[in-house]
Amino acid sequence: MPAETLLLQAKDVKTWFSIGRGIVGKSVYVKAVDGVSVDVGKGESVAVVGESGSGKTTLGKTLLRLYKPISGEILYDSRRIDNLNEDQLKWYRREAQIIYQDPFGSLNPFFTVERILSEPLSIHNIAKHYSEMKEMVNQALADVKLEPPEMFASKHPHMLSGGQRQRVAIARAMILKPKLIVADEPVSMLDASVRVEIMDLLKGLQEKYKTSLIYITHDLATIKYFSQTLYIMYAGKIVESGPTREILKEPLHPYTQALVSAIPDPNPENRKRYRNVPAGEPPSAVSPPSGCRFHPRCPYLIKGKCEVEEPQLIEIKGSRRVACYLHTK
Amino acid sequence: MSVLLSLKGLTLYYRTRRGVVKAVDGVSFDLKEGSCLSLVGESGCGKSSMAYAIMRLLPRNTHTYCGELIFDGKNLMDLTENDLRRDFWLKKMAMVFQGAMNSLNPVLNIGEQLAEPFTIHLGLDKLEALKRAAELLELVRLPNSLLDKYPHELSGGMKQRVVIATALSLRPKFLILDEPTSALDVITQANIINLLKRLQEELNLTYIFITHDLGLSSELSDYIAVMYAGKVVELGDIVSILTAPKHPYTQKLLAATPKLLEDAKLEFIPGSPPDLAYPPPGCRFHPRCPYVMDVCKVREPEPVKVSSEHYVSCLLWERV
Ligand SMILES: Nc1ncnc2c1ncn2[C@@H]1O[C@H](COP(=O)(O)OP(=O)(O)OP(=O)(O)O)[C@@H](O)[C@H]1O
Ligand SMILES: Nc1ncnc2c1ncn2[C@@H]1O[C@H](COP(=O)(O)OP(=O)(O)OP(=O)(O)O)[C@@H](O)[C@H]1O
Ligand SMILES: [Mg+2]
Ligand SMILES: [Mg+2]
Repeated sequence: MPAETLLLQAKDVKTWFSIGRGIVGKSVYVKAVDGVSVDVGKGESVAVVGESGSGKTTLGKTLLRLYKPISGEILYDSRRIDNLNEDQLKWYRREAQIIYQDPFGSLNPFFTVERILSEPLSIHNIAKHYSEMKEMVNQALADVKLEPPEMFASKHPHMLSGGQRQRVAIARAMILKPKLIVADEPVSMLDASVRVEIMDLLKGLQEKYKTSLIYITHDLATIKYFSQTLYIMYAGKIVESGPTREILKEPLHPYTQALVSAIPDPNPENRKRYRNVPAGEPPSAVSPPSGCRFHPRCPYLIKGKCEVEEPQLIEIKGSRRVACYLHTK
Repeated sequence: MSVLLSLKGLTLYYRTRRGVVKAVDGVSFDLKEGSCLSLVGESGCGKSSMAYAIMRLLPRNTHTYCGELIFDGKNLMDLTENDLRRDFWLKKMAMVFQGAMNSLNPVLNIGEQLAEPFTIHLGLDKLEALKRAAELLELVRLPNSLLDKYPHELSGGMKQRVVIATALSLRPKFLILDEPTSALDVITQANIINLLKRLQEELNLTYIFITHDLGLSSELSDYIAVMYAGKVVELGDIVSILTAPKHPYTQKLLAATPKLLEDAKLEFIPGSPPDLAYPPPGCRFHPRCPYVMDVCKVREPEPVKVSSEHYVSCLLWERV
């Protein structure tokens, strides 16, 4: 991607958490993100998909600099942000926002909707006076279709449905007109129909304001309606990336193949067959398997190779990349 | 196949400060032994309440509980709670509760949790009960080494398997699964569904599978019942429901379900389900229905048979 269309670029980023010392006195780390590179274009919607524990949330929070990576580079608008301290990050806090999975936990229950939405405005000294703030809050509520805004402004989160709460969370993230949003499983707690409604809304706003979006999910089924570009994450690594529809049509990595074949699809034939998915559990993030991290669950294991040397993420055709010896030598 | 469960006008209302909540409002259907029925519908339409009504596990604030509930040839309405405890719960019918995997007892290890039904209900001694616990782990394809582990040491998928094992401990032939996979990621979910299919074959189980995901319901079901605001609005064999749905609500639900091979835009259902303390008169779906007629606002539809195993409650399908 040419530099002028690129908003965020992460290069070989690692975020490890120290969890004390092991028996020989060496520090023990959870290698939640372990060498990830991601490009996000201006106005682009990118999805990160992977199993529970694969490091998606940690990656998202690292890109927002809610975590500091232990190594690698993060460039935002060609500026390094991976090494900045909290004071130096103040401008970035305004440009980049997060929407969390849990619409019940992420909103302060003691605040009214108006207070929840006006807080970012006062932190960043944006509104000059009350009526301007009020206007921005109302606009944000109208953007997420909580209308009439006056009616919702005075409510507390517990008086809202799950879908309405997630709208408030979106409004809060959007009110500063950020250039980048990380949406961490924003609809996974919601019903199928509400899910579609919220995704539609988020997509509409993202297009309207040309916001770049990093959409984190474990649900491949809905993602093709949403993001052009897909990153598949497994055990702290990206194992495949490329255009969403191409990956869904022809997944290359055996892990991606498993994810695609696990998608529940409304088809009467499903009744008669077993899903072809790897058994077992995702690996430990403290001591991941040697070589390819997927090798213990892989049906195509090449002995003497996959468990020995880690495959690199290599471009194979057009903009598709995969880290697997079946496709790269 | 014989009928294992037969409901006629099953009703469960709750008493609340806001008024009487009509969570299950006159539901009737038959379920054949060895088959699986999925109960689908949006959040709050009464799916879990229906499960409680079928199990006769009623909350304290129950206001009305009535109708006919024939299970295995007995009307459960005529029995006392003691009868149910002695002869039915866990022994003939069991339930995997919504969110149960997060309420495993944190201070008991897996062996102790799994052994409990055997000591309490069958009066087995500790050693014998532990042996049975180990067999249960094998049944749900978990390694023996989990016996002395605690819930926090298990992954979500493992915990859900333990919950399923507990429900199957006394070998019931009927199992209600209330959203057993909604907190799990897709691969773990697919593994649990595979397990449920194998268990159904091995043990000839009859299932009621509760989900809000029509895609997921197709994995296990022979029949799908679509619930809206306390009522079953459409019920049919899986092919009819997924390929020729008749109720506008079912059609809308299907249009909101992602499909792997189709590129049609997903649609959502405008509005939200009604407050069950004050459901709308007539057809409860009428305020959201794209085909609403004047009569829908006043007359409640009765189930109409559209083909041999397919019923719909919608005035568009009523013959005049
Ligand atoms: N603050 C932390 N301290 C220690 N370990 C952590 C921390 N946050 C995450 N981890 C660990 O890092 C790994 C990746 O976690 P992360 O939450 O990023 O995964 P995820 O892909 O978002 O999973 P999920 O789908 O369950 O949300 C896990 O093993 C997790 O236990
Ligand atoms: N014990 C109770 N007392 C009062 N109201 C209740 C009780 N249990 C459930 N309700 C209400 O009854 C209605 C149906 O709830 P129920 O939990 O059966 O729905 P559901 O379809 O299982 O929803 P979900 O998909 O969210 O699990 C809801 O309005 C709910 O708030
Ligand atoms: Mg996460
Ligand atoms: Mg429920």
